[in-house]
Amino acid sequence: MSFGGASGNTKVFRPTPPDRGSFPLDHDGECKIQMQIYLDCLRSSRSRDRVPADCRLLAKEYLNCRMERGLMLKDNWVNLGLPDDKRSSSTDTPESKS
Amino acid sequence: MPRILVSRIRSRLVSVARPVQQCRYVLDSLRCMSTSPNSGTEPPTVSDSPQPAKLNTPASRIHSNSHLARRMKELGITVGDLQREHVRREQLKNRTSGYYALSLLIGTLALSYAAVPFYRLLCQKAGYAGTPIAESATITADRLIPVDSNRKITVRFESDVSRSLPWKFEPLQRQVTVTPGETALAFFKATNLSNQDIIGVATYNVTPDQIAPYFSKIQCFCFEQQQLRAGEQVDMPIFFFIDPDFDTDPQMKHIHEVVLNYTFFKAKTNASGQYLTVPDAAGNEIAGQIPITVSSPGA
Repeated sequence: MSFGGASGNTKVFRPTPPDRGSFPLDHDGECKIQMQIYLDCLRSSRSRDRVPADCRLLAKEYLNCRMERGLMLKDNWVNLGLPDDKRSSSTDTPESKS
Repeated sequence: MPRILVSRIRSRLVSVARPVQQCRYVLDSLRCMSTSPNSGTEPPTVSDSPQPAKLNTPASRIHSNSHLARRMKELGITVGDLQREHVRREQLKNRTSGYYALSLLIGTLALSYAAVPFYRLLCQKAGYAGTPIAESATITADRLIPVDSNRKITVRFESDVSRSLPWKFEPLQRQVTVTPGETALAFFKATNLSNQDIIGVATYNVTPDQIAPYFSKIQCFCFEQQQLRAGEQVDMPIFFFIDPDFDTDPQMKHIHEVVLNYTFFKAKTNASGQYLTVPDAAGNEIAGQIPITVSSPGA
């Protein structure tokens, strides 16, 4: 992709590892329902411009499901860029790069 | 060579004949031979401050009654001495300039070697030429605030599977529209079509390249080995966002669409089940041990 490109200002693309590492695989499909609801919301709101706020809440539900089943390390919602909920009692475990 | 010496002697004697007070010194031990306006006719008077001079001439070319020859005879210096002295001084001069040249060369070489880490350091500090500035590992919460502008970027998803991997791998949504700073969740689905447990490794690619420094993944399924049992189907999420600084970067003004492409490779094993090759960041399968470490700034 960068073969023969202009020298100097071009940056070679290097994929970086994700900040919190990899999601453990959901082999048993424990959070499949939340995922389906989220995807249905995405499809229905396709005509709109942004990911609507209610779909983001569904994303939050999915991640919450993962956290509860140990498929994701718990963290504050604000660290994940998602709207905080009133009963935010998740343990504050700031992630370090895996 | 002798002709040059003669001409030099002549030029020196001519300059000696100038009405200006000049000192011609013959070696350190001799004293100054100053000149008078009528130096052609009378012997020069000798002043008392010694300074070195250079005179080269073969003995046969000096007139026996020239003041130079007389002076030399007085001091017991032969022409050979003068020549050797001259050669020695020339050699010293050459050696000095040789040392200067050598030191200049070594200095330039050292500078060119030092330039590489220096440049890298400068780029990391100043973010020059696209090097991402924020090298600290964690994505802090203040980066996850969506920007206020109407900027929207459409992220399309594409998937690829290596030929040696009998999996079906596809995104579950065609595209997602996000604002810089807003986190988004997206899913891929992978199905193991074979009748064996297979471990695969994914890597990703973002187009256009310029957005790469701004495209941050909070969590995904890439760069780590993922095992699928025979016939298993699994949903793989990715959680990502585009850095809010993307909105203020003038070079990114024209970018409205991003393509995120994930590719799955098979992690190869040898006869005893030990994993041999894993894909590196460029997608080439290289020999390596699990887990994979992708060299990235801040890793």
